[in-house]
Amino acid sequence: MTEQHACSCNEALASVYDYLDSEIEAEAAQAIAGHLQECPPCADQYRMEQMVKALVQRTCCQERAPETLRVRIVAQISQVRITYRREI
Amino acid sequence: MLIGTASTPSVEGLPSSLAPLTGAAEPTPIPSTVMIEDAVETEEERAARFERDALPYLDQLYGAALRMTRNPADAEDLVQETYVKAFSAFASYTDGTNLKAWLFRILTNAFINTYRKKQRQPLQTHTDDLDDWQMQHTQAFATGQLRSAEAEALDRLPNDIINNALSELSEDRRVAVYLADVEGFSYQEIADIMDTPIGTVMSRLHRGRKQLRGLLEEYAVAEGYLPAPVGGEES
Repeated sequence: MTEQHACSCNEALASVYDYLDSEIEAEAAQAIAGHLQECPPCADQYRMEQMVKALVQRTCCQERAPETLRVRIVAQISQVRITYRREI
Repeated sequence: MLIGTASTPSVEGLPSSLAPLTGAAEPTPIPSTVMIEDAVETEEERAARFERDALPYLDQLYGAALRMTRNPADAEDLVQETYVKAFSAFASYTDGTNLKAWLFRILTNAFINTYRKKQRQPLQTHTDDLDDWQMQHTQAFATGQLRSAEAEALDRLPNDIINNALSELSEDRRVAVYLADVEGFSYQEIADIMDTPIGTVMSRLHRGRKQLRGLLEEYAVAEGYLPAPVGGEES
């Protein structure tokens, strides 16, 4: 767990969300990736965080706005345009 | 209204299961407005450009509005208000900036100004730091052998259970988690959308996910997807 490229458990855990969200520099990401490959407990933790993120994605990606809403919005935009033109 | 974009580091040579997740949403398309000069654009052209570029985000904005209001009728009103405001301000929208983030910012502002006031919810703030998150996760190593079974159990949870758990999060945490995990916005983009410092975004994300995970584990045990933890509190 103390190889040159890998970081410690504490360092990996402190940055686990930054890593999960691709918010860290490539070099730091490599260090965490190296640690996760060598440290099963940290890798388990990371997989759990990955899982929660994936669950939120899975659940929330299926929303479809009602077609009536689209119609209402398009209608209202044309109304705003007409109002504008009258003001000009 | 400039929206920054954080660079996304690539990680090479990783097994796919350990590679960082990116947002599920498709990459933000470059708006086709870039090539159009304001000076030569008529009102009709601008309206057509708005419908062509902004309207495709309808489903995404509606999904976010549902998480915010937790009510389909309010979500529809909120999205409609967002589009009317966005169209009125579209002339001042800077070509080439992130249209999706711009729309989400208008949505979030409209929600805060209209619906949060209507719902008379007190502003929820969280000032606690991250130390206890690390503590919890360090301690959890003792039960590490349960983790893969737990991950499999969570993966089998039906969507309505996950929705219930999400709706239990405070508004700030729920929106931050949604913008990051579903829409794939960067921390900086979320900070701009929620008009809050980036450190606050990270805190909301960390705490929101931690709480969400705790809730999902509770649901998983209650619904029989996971055995009850031996010896009381497990995490």
